[in-house]
Amino acid sequence: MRPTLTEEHEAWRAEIREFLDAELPKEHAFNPEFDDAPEQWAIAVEFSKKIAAKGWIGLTWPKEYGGKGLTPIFNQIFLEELYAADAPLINSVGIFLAAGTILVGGTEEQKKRLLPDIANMRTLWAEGLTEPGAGSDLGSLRTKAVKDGDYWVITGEKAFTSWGPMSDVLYVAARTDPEASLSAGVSIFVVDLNSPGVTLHPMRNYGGGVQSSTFLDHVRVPASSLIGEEGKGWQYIMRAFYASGTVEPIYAMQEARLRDLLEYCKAIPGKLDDPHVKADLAELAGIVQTQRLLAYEIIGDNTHGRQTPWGGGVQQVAAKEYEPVFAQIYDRVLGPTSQLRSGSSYAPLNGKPEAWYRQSFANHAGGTSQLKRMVLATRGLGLPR
Amino acid sequence: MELAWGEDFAALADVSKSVFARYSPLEDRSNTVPFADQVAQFAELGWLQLGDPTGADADSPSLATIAGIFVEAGRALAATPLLELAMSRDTALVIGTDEATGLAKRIGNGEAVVVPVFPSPEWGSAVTYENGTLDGVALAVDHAGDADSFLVYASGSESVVAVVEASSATAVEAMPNMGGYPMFAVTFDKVPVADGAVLARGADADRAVEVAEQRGAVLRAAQLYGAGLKLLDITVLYAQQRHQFGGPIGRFQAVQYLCTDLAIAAHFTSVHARSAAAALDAGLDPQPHIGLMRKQAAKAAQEIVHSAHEVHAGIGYMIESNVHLFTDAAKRWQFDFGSAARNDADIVDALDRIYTGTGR
Repeated sequence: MRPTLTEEHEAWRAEIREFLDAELPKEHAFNPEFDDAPEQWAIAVEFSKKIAAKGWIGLTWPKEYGGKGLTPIFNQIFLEELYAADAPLINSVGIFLAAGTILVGGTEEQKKRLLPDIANMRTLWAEGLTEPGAGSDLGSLRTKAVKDGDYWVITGEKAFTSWGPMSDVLYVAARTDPEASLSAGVSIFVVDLNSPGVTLHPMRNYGGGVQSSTFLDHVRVPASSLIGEEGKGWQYIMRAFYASGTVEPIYAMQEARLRDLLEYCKAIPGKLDDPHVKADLAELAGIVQTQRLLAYEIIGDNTHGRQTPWGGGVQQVAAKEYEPVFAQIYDRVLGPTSQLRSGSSYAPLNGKPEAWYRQSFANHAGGTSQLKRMVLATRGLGLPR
Repeated sequence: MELAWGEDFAALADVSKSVFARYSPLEDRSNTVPFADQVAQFAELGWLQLGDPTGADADSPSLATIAGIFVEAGRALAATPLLELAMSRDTALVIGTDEATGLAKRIGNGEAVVVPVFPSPEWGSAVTYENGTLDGVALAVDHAGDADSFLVYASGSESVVAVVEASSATAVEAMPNMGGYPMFAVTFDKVPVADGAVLARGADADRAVEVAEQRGAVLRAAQLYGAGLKLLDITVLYAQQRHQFGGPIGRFQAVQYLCTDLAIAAHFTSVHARSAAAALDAGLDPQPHIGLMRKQAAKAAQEIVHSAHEVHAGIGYMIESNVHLFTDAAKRWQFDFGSAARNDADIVDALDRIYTGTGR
């Protein structure tokens, strides 16, 4: 149920599918956010380097920085196909958050130095925004950076750092002016994770992955590690997420899962005769399509310079809230075997639904739905804070 | 109809608290009690012979009282075979023949560990009985790996309840699951059953299993309610202690709604469980109460963990947090309350019987 695209767009989709068919053996597909066992990670790195070799990492970036200079719809189609195939593209922090920040705020030298390394998968980034006391409320972040000659000295603790042990550098938000407001007192730094004073304490999460507590103890970084201008970090973060003009296509992943579920149901005599099952499948289809339409609305608006109603806030809320609902309905259709792990011969769809259900509780990443609703209400609808 | 828990509910719950403390993973994840020790302790406490589904024993505690044990088992997230053993005993008592009553006694004093194998056709599970043999696979049978015997409910030209030695099953295969619970697939491949092992046939078998399943559903709902109360405690405490934007997150209406959603889902489960227990204890038609309770509890199992995760966000997603232990348990229990198709059909059937002819 995809919106009508041009022949050029469809040809692009076909090219990606051809690539995936050739380079992504089905047994190697996984969601890189949550499965970082060493052997899986090695496969993901190898696969991601093949993507980079095609020049597909920075599809919307200017060509002079290692990009392709394409419109957002090309990037969206690319991501849709990767998500639908559970393709293990790593370094999402580098590709989206870091590259977005560098594109909107970085100096010319930084764009030329840092972006090609992301485009070529030479530098892997981990995220250092969240802190133990600063999750939804980033304004409470306490990590500080103090200027010391040609260096910055960074001290603080970051929480829930995904892929920390596998990454090269950390994207750090730190206070450079403790007296100033969030919008004026935070700056962004790139910190080498091998720097003296950096310590990672890994913790397992419910989805099967590892996230770290990252301790920064008087970490000295050169002045050139400050991305863009001092005190503009908050503005960069806000704009970075939208710099690619695309929307994370969770709906594409969900549609692939819905297709599998329908096939599963068809193989069980009488299953599709149950009106409850039909209602559930239709509800899942509605979740997929609503999110796709919201994404295409934003992409179209970004491409043509229009403002999406309420800043695209509806899409953000929908993405957050549909994630666990999709998993709940999915399992309701499957029944009790949905809780079986892949080791069980009775596990439907090779036990993937069990992992998908657990992972659906990671919908807080990047901000809770309550926070997204608050933003929609105050910034979008103009309600008082 | 009295909607309070039973007379000795609180006293039983008090004892249960101390018993289940050593089973609870909430304080210590390594807490486990060997199966044989569990059965021995429950037998000593008299918990394997509580309740009489036939109503013949007036001194036996009501279902609304026995629920006290299960509320506390749920609050502690204790993994025990208590429900399965109670369902086997209830089935045997309702069948009521000498053989069945003898089996109920042996279960009650801990001599026989009999796990019910009641396949759910609605979930793709079926065992048939034809020409003296059992055939088929029953899925998601809790504690089957530790049972001496199975009480098998099989369909066929006429349904039967038969007791068979666990070793006679063709296979008892572990089903690795989300919460690591002892869950098994029990397979019968033309397994012969002696005539004397068939405890009930036809309507008698159907009736006994129906009653045991109804009572089991009430106790499972009580367990879910207990887990919901504990998760509510944990979640409200977190909402009070976690500070963002200059104060506790619990002062935000969005978070208050989530906490109250959790409280409401748990309480809905409680009132429906009490209503169903009261109907069963009073010998009234329990079907509408049971159907509505099952429907509500299946929904609540999802709602309570959803709300808790939303409030806890990042920290609730980490293994070090206890929230996911409830998520695992609720996922398992959710399906014990049956499918939407079955529950809705039961409810509408009951409504039809109640309303037809009343003219209102």
